[in-house]
Amino acid sequence: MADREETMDKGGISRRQIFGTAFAGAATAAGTAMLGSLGSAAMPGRAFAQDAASGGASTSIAWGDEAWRKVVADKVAGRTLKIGFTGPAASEFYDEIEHGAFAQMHAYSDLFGVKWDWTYASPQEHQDINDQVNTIEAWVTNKFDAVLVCTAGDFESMQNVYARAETAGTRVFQFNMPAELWDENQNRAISNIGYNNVMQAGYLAGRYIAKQLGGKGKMILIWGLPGHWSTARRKGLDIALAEFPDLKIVGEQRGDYVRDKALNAAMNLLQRDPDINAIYGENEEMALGASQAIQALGLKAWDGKEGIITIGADGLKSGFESIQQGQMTATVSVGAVDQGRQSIEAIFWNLIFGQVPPKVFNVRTQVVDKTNVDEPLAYVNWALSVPKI
Amino acid sequence: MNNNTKFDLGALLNIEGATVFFAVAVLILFSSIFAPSFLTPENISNVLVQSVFVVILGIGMTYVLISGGIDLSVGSAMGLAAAVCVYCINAGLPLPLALLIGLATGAAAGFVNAYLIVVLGFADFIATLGTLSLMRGIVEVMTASTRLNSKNPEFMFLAGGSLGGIPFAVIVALVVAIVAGVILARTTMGRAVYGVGLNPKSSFLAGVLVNRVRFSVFVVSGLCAGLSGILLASRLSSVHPAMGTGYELTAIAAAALGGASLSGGRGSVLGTALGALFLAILQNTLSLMSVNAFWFQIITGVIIVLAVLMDGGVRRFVAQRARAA
Repeated sequence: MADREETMDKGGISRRQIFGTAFAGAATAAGTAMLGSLGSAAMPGRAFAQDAASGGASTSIAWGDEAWRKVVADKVAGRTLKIGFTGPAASEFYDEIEHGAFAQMHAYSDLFGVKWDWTYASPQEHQDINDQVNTIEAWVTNKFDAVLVCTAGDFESMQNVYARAETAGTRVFQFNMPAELWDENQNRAISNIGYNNVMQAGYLAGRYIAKQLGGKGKMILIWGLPGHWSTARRKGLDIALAEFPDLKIVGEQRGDYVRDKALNAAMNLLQRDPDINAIYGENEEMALGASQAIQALGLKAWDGKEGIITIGADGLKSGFESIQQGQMTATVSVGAVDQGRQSIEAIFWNLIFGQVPPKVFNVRTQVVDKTNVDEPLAYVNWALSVPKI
Repeated sequence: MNNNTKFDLGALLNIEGATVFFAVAVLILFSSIFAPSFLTPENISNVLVQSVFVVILGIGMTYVLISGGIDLSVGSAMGLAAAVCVYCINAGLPLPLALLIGLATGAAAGFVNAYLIVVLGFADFIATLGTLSLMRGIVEVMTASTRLNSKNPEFMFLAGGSLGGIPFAVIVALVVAIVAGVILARTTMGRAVYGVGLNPKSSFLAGVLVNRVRFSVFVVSGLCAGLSGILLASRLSSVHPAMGTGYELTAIAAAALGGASLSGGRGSVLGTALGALFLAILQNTLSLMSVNAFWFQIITGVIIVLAVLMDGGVRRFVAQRARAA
């Protein structure tokens, strides 16, 4: 139980590796012409293609061969897929998801000649679900092939518009929603590409704090807007903390997912009780706010032995950099880039070949601290460097 | 009087809601040219349903604005009425009773505002800011950890069904608009609302029960917010903690577009309804045109300011013409 994180890391198949080989294989198979085109574009595949060319391409096992690639490309026949992407708010997190999607779209364009028509929208008012319903209706009117939806409302509030989309021929996919809270068979969306907020986020954060503090100490919590995310993460946190009766929650406040409110909340709680050992911010913006509060009050940030632990959840570039600089202690990286890439994978194979993705597809997540921040940061940097569609 | 055409133009522009009607017409023309799918029957029905919530909310807001007040709590009142209504449905109450309790919740919210403002003498801005926060808190307590949703088919009919091809919610909004419009324009109560907004002292001297009028406009606003919230809950078949957040500003924008003055004494139900329709069409068109989400906001802001400017310009033009005549 204690090593759940580690097992998950080792057990999970790295999709990144699969796609790496896929690129290499397809590029070698397609020959020099394709290598040239890949090399000239500012593409993630470039590195893989070079690897393959220089280092024993004959022994690597490719993702499909040229014959298969051609079958797919023939079926695609240069088609343009019209996709709408709507999240609950514009933020760094959703930008990372979008860039993950861009990366995968470029990859499929290069491999199969598919074209993409991509539209982004977020509600003007934070978390206005009706605004998102209106947007989806407009996209359905415009005969979009698929829409990717993440809302602050529950599955229930979207079923009517999903049904209308279905009838009109627009396929609905969800991303980044805690599917574990609902009966998956009630959801009309074809697939929910996300992660388990209970066990893959809240639980991991609780375990991490307990492990660092030796199962003993005082912690405070800063929550986002009430809703399904906070409900699920709280559930996971409680499961983790149940095993550590000496690790006590001594204060809770709202930070509404934004830094300034979390900064104030953390300041207030820390002033009341400066010998706090850990702060859990339900998302990273709030954990970053908490780490700024620690700095502002002249308190000591966690150095591996003593100080105050701050942990968030998201996996933002700014969060990873703060971890590198020793300000924020850790975060739960919830696979933003992979959520974007997997969403496009699900959409592509479903739209072109009618293949059915899992109803709930969870990406890998991980607690990231100073000891392992390099890989997730490099991965996010790569995704953000991918050109927009 | 020898130039009949100019005189007619002035008279035409003097009709309440004429400028916003003109703006809506121009926008529809623009939309049908640049967004080819705008004029499809499904899309028109979508836009009408999308506008309903702000139309109804805006009508209540218009009453308050004309009387010289402001109600910032309507977004939270929407959420609260919706939450209470769906809670009652889930508790097994018959639908009509649940709807009535939902509406009563909205009216009660208005009653509390009115009590604070008229009886206790709070500034309306502060009082409704307080109840905005208070009611949002209650909605969050009711919805944060327990999900409030209903699949009751009759309840979902309210915003999802249609009668004779017309969405039911649009019919509801039409009825509300006609009743509220007639009361405001044709009854003593309506004229009293204008009077209180223009000059409370002389209205009082003229025998108007000023406090009673000020009291009732907030109840009307709360009632409208309740109805709007119930319809929105029916459309989403659920209530979430943030439901209705920010709607008060959209309602004020719709009323302002429709010619209502934030200093009272001016405005109309027709104008506000057209203003709400204008905002819904604008949002729909920008979505259909796949306008970049960030530009979307900027364009919306610019167009609202332009539309209000145009309204002011037209008013000055009409006033000058009246003086010249």
